[in-house]
Amino acid sequence: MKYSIFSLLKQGLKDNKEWPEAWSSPIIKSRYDVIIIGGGGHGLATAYYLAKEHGVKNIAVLEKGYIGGGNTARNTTIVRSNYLWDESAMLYQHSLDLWNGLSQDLNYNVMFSARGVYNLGHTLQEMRDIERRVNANVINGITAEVVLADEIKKRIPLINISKNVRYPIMGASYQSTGGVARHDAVAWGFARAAAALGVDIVEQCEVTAMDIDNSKIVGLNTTKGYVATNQVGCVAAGHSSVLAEMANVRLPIESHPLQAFVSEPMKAVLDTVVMSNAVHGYISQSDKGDLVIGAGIDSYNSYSQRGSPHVIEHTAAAILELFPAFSRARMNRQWGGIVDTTPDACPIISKTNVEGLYFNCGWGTGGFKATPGSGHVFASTLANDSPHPLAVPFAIERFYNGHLIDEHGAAGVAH
Amino acid sequence: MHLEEEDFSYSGEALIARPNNPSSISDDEWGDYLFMRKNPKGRHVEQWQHSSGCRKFFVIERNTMDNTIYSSYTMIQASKEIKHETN
Repeated sequence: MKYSIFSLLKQGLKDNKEWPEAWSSPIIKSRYDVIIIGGGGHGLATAYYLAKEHGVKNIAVLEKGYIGGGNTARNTTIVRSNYLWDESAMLYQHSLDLWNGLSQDLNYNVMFSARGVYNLGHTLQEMRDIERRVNANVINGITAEVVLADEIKKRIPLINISKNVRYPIMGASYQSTGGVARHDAVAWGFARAAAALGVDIVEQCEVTAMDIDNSKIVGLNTTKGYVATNQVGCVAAGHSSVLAEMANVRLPIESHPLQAFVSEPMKAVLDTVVMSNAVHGYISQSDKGDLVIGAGIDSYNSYSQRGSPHVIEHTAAAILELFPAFSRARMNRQWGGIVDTTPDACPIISKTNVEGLYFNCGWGTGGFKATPGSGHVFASTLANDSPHPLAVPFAIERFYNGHLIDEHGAAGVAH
Repeated sequence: MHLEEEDFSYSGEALIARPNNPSSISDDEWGDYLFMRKNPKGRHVEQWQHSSGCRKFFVIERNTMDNTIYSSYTMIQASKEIKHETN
């Protein structure tokens, strides 16, 4: 069913009781041409673009939980592309280009809202880095500007630009084309659009082993039985190392909890996204009205989807330094997701030594913004058995030949 | 004795031996030593430093799913007692 004003009216008149399910729950088949492990945004986007742009017919997405239950619905929904280095700037800008028009493409409202993103600078060195990054962005055709403290105060009235704090705000980089999107709608929208193109989305199906014969992938053991296939794309975020171990592939990934929390809903007080590396936090206000707050990872490896309380305390302190008025806001929910961090804060989109086995992982703390672009380039990589031009620099080989893409400045805390 | 987590700093997977002669090994071996990690879901042998205290490094074995700590070692104990198990 196509979603439109007419279908909305029609179903509304029927008391909303006859909406068809957004995607079906197929019985897993015994063989697929391509299997995507991981039904998060990136995995679903990969399947969607494989079916839509590369005409692959027989695709499955295997999800061990349920759609919209993992990191796709655990992040803080920030979208931007103002990365320093050409390789990552091009990749994230490719994604931003897809965000514009994604709701129409998927026929599903992902509520992408280009409300702008501020990355604050609190020291002279940070301002120098910001100017350098903004200049690099402009050269790469990415919308960016440097904004000073007085102007920030005009645009964001609640922000505290007093010099009487530990890290006074001096300025910011501003990307007006960045913003937020509704994260679970992104998973649902891609799932629905992929299913409409014939992709089997199999939930509650965990991969338990990989069947590798003579360095070629030939099948997967799952909790729903054995499936034969010759192409597998692993898009499992924090669990990438678990999959890699099944194939004896080594990854430079460490899994960490990343916590976030939201306040009770309140009237509109913040119409943009504000992030700060120095005080270590970021905040926006959702369309529902809740303040969405996050910060850095817990330091230790973990798969527990929860972190330590001192990280929450630190995050709250950072946000209150920027917005003292929020000291009275009551927090509603707090949670953690498991992120897959790499040594250079850049993703891995790569073939492996096992023929037919590919990984798209290592997006770490900032993968949400890349969802459509990541799926798009990974689909091309799988379909052609050769990396998409934008994915070439992100192959696993960079950890052996030394061509790292150090984005800690643009990605370290800011997500 | 009970100490807060904030007294300690995490420093990743333990017992990664630096190759004896880096200039004689391949890029693959050097890259593996520098960057590749086990990152297990389950028992993990890892280094911590008591950074706000005695500043000594030590090794624990911890479950990465529920944070159960099975055992702790000084660096010397760890290199003698658990190296052969983890390799």
